[in-house]
Amino acid sequence: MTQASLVRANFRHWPGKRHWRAPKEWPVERIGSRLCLTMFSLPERGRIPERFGLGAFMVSTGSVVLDGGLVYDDALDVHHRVPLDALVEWARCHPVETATSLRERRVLPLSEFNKTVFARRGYTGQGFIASADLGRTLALGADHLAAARLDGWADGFALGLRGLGVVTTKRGRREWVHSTGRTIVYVQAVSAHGTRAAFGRPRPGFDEETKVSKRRGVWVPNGKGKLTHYQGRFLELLGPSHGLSGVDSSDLDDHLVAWNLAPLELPFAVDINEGGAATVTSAVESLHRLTLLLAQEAREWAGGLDLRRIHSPGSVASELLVRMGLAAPLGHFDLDDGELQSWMAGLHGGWVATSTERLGSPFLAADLDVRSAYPTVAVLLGWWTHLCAEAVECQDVTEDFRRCLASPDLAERMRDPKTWRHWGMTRVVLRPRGERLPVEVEGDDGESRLIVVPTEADRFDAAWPDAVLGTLLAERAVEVLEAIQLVPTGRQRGLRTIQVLGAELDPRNDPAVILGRRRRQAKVQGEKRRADALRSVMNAMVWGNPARFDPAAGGSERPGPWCWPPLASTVSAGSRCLMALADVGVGPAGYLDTDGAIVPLLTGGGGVGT
Amino acid sequence: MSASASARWTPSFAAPTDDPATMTCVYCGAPATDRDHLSGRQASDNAQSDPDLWLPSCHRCNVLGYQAWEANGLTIVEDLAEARVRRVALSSLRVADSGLWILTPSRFWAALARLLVETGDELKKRASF
Repeated sequence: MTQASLVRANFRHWPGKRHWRAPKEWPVERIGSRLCLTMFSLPERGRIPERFGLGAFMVSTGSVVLDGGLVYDDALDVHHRVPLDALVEWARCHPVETATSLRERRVLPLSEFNKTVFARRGYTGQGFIASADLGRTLALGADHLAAARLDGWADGFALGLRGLGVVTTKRGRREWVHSTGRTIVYVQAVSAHGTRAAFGRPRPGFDEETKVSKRRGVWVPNGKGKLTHYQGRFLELLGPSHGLSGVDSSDLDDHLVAWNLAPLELPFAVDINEGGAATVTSAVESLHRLTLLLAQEAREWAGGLDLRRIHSPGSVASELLVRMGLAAPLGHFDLDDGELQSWMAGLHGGWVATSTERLGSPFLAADLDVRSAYPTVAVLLGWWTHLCAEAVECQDVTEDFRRCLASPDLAERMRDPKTWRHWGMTRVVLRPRGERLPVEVEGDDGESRLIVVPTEADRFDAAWPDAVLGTLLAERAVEVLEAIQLVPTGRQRGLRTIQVLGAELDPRNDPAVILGRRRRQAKVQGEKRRADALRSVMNAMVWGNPARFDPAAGGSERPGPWCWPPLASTVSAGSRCLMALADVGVGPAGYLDTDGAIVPLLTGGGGVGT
Repeated sequence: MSASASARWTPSFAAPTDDPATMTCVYCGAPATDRDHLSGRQASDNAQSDPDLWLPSCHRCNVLGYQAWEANGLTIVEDLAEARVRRVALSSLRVADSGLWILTPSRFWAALARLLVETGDELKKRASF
């Protein structure tokens, strides 16, 4: 970036609370409480554009397997007798080991599968529909795919599944007309690896004699004395696996290994033969086992989590707070949009930087790491007292904060936990005159990144630890125009104790501390998966969820259920401040990333001595 | 059912608690409302194959039991003896899957014993042909 170029900086905008939805406590459904259709499909190798190749399915209830089979493209039946015969023969030689007998594996064309298994078990039977990469499996089985136009399905797709309707052409446009009593399926990506899917409204029937349309399909009570169309019980397995194991990957094998299952090394596409049949069948069997393990683990969290609602560690964290009876801050605390906008301006991610002087040459270094940096900062700031408060009040602390920044022993003060707790959630307005401060800029690729650069501005919103960072790096106090502290008052009633992996989360104690202790115990006991899950859940609880914004209609954003910019801004600023303390304490880092630094040892310009 | 087996396994008393409403569902632990007859009905006269071989169940789990039979091909009865045993096996596995401690109605074990004896008799009869 040259000095003459103009970039957008600190452009985050508070979208307002209008479309915000409060987190809810949903009834939990066990996997064994219904039939579960586990399905998986892969495209045919060598076909462009991609099209359905082979699929496999299994019907079960809990660990009790009831039925299973293979699914092939309908066109195979017509044009390729030989591969179909080979599939039938393979299925005959590889029966399904069901609960009560060895049963012949069924071999069905896609349209037949959708009508007799998918619709019957997953729609009219109201069972679970489970898969990994559910969106892809559903889309492969669809004859029609279009952008979802329904509210709440931004960036999602509407799928017309083969056999449940027909594609027609209207005014030159392809359209999907679903059969009477059948529906389209909506699919939307949520979080990093989660998928949300739902059935749409079923097509009504039409009585030719009375000229009246009649309700068809599956309708269920909506809890308000009326009926609503059944939306299905879709279960994307990668989401809950991410949430309950901390494995942040789209690769199914990474998840299987984390749950002590054998990796599958699935190809991207399959040949339509016995090998392909074996591949998709083993995938669906592994997915069934994964479902059972996830269901078993979910029971250990807060008395049982519903796998359908777990899309990430953030969902787990959200469920824990909901079960504890905590009110979401955005609905509970009365802060106006202007105040929240000021907090948004200082909401950034972690500080990542590399010393260009060190690039390309090896050097002796110390690897420094702040353990559980975000939860640690949150605990120091008193996040739990803040969130459990009955209300928060804005208090002007400008003079006090100016004095604090100007104190010669600022770095020393910052090593005292009382300083962190004292300032808690405080935002500041600065007038920087060349001091280095964290600034979020938009790159040419449209992605934002955080840089810490000499900054000049007449008004610069930030969380208080960023003001400390600027002061420490410049060795002079940044000018403070205003400092406003959110002071928690009172305490919410009705908070409840829950159990998580055997640890008691009592609302009188900070859950980040309890979960941190449980994580340490898990590490000692060799429970790596649980340790990783707890790390991710803690981070989501104190930063991920408070910083979450979801896509809304028209390309806009809405705050996530637990969104709370004061907490998110201060926690990430606190972590950056810790990095600045390391910088002034032990010397400039060769490499910085959020909560860790590579600091040169024994360098000419200083650094950590041996 | 042979007369001798029936006589051998008919209990002489009935406990007063054999009302499912006083029990919990053996599959999910919710309050029970239904009697889930483990071996189902006979195709010929639609009567319960083993009227006393039932477990307390909530309505949803009772319906799920039928759905599970259907998915497992146990609703189409070709061989009653086989269907009876396989249906009981399927329900038993569902109970095992629940991980719950269960309370059985007073005549349950006698009814199960009768089913097993009759199945043994049937197998013996078939083997002798």
